[in-house]
Amino acid sequence: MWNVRTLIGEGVRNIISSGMRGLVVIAAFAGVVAGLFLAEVSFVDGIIRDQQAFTERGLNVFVVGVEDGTLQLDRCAELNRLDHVIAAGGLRRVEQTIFSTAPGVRFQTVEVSGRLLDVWVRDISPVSSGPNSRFLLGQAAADELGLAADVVVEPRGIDGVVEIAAVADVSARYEAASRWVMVPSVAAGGGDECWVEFIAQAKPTAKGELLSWFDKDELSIGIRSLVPTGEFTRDPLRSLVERNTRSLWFPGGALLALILWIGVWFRRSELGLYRSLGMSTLDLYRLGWIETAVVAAAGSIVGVLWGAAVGVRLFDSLRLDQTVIGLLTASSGVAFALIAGPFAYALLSRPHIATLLKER
Amino acid sequence: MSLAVRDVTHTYRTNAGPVLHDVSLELGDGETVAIMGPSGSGKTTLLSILGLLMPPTSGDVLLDGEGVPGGRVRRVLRSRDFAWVSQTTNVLARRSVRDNAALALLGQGVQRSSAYVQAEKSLVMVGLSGLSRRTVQTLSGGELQRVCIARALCGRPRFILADEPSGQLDSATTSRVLDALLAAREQGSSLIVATHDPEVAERMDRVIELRDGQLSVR
Repeated sequence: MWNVRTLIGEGVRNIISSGMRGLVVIAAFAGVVAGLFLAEVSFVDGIIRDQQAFTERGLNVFVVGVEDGTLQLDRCAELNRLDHVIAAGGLRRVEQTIFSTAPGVRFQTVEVSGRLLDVWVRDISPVSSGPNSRFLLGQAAADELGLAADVVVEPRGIDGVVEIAAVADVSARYEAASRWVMVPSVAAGGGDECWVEFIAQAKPTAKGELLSWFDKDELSIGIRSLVPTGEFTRDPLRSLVERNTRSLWFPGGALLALILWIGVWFRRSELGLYRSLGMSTLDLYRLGWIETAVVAAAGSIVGVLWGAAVGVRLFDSLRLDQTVIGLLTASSGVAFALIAGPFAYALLSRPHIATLLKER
Repeated sequence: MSLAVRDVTHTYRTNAGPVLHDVSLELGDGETVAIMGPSGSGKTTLLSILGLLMPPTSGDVLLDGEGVPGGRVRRVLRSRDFAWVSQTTNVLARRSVRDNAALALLGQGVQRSSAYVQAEKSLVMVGLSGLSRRTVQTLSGGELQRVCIARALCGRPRFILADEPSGQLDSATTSRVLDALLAAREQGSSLIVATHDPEVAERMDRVIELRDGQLSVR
């Protein structure tokens, strides 16, 4: 009977001797693996760039605040004249209780990074998609908005100032929130906060400069960085790895398996020949697994190298976490193909041997 | 009698009536038999049933007087006692002549190195010595047919079943292929050939005619 050693010999020899047909199958396999790898790398690149942009720019934004609403907003606006100030604007706070419901609350932080909410919602799973999608708030966004976490909100205007258009459960508002809702204010009279974005080089001296600019002592004024180090506490690698990637690797894996099935379809007479020589369905599955493993090994190596080469060209460089996530998704697809592919050998050999032997 | 079919009827799902109708036939050890008949008379179906490639719709296949069971036993008997040489020259097209010739022995659990030694001997018997390292897809039709015969001889089966082995060959090549097939008798195998060709039938011990799914002996 066919022993495993002989089957390994047959499988390896079949692939090595398969010539152009084998190369086409391996190339197609490699193409899908490269696609899976690149799709994931591209997705992660977007997240990383958003986060970097927010962190880097946010660290250069300082919030000058006073408790009694006497900050001179015209002085705040004058900061715009300085060469090393990118932008400055005054805010006047309105008590949260003015709004009877959450709709109308403004999410000011997006003025610093227009895509911040986008970054957040990417890893808190949209309830539905579309321009006015409803989202489950994560903790960070909920804190910022003065809402309890896990509340469904409907944001509006992702690319500009984001306004929360609707909150599904008004009773879920975070009642203990003591923060104020800030609204942009004209540059006149007294205000509560002045947001100032400096160029990166001016950051070390920014605090001192702001103190003297507003002519206040340290006791009556608070100056803080908008994004203190450690504010962005989420571990992007972990949250991305935990992201449900089934939507990507499942069709990818199915496509890989389909490539293998098509390759086997054209070899049905060989399956008949093997069966006429005593191979059982299990033997054929084993032979299929060996051949699939050889194709998958060659296709995966070529595919990942191919994907990495294109990735470096497209994104300048590949970070380790990007590469790990890309490899994880690509290998999930390959693992799916390793399970599903060999069934072709078992299932396509089901007809009578005499019928299979007539196939070309 | 070593191989027999008794009251065999076979109907394909796609056909309206039976292809074989109450066919009974017995074959002795070392006997060579030609099954003749027009196209569609059921020659290939009978051969497939005799070679355990498919079970009949009804009736029995007997080996040494015993019914052939299904499953693993049937598979073992098929690979050990039967060899198949088909009209369509079933080979692993991209593998070498030697690899193809050794397949039957590999299926019997023989180590590859020993199988290759035996394969080389079989290739000499069919006149293909010197071609063992060639890829089979580079061979002519007659040479391909002889590779299949070498594979059949290599396993030293009790029965070799050949379906139109000379179907697409000229007379000189047919003669060489027949010589190769009849070499099976030297090693004690029975030979059952389905053919249209009277030249092939002449060289067999017995000729059986199959017409409209029923047998008649000449």
